Amino acid sequence: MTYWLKLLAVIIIPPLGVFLTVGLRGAFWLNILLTLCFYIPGFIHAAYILARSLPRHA
Amino acid sequence: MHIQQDIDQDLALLRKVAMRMDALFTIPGTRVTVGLDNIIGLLPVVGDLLSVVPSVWMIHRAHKIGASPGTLAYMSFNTALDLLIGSIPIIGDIFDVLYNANLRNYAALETNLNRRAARAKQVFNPQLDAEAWI
Repeated sequence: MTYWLKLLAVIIIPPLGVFLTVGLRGAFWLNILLTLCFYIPGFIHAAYILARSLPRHA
Repeated sequence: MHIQQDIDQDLALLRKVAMRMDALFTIPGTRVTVGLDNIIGLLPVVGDLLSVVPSVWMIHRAHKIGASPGTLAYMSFNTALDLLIGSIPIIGDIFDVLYNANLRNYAALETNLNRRAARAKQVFNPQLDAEAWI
């Protein structure tokens, strides 16, 4: 459930998705900068941060 | 005369589309206008790409009517700006609401066509030609 909420946040407002994943860390500020470069870099970075935070399947 | 009528009809249609896209209604108490472009554009990239379709159609029609290359370039620039900045989530949506690219495009097209028509009348003025012949 949280995952889908985060994914939605990543799609609509990438920095919000990163904030929900790692909080106010460096990645969050970096993501704001990347999103200001016309969204797409920020989206890729946010998707990466979200994917990194997921538990690994064996 | 038929040509003139066709252009008037085309312009009326373009004006309607531009109004729908940029000025569907006004936020009460302000002069800020909101249109379909702004509503669809809330979805980051896909929405802005969708809202570019009518803009490109308008540029195509303007080319067919006979707008000058400079005006077409200006319209393309406006559309590209609308797409690029509009795709940034929150800031871009605010920009979209305030900028009204389609209305600007329509106004530029109308000015351009009026100027061309005026110039054409100056060159082919029947009255002046008649006087010259007398």
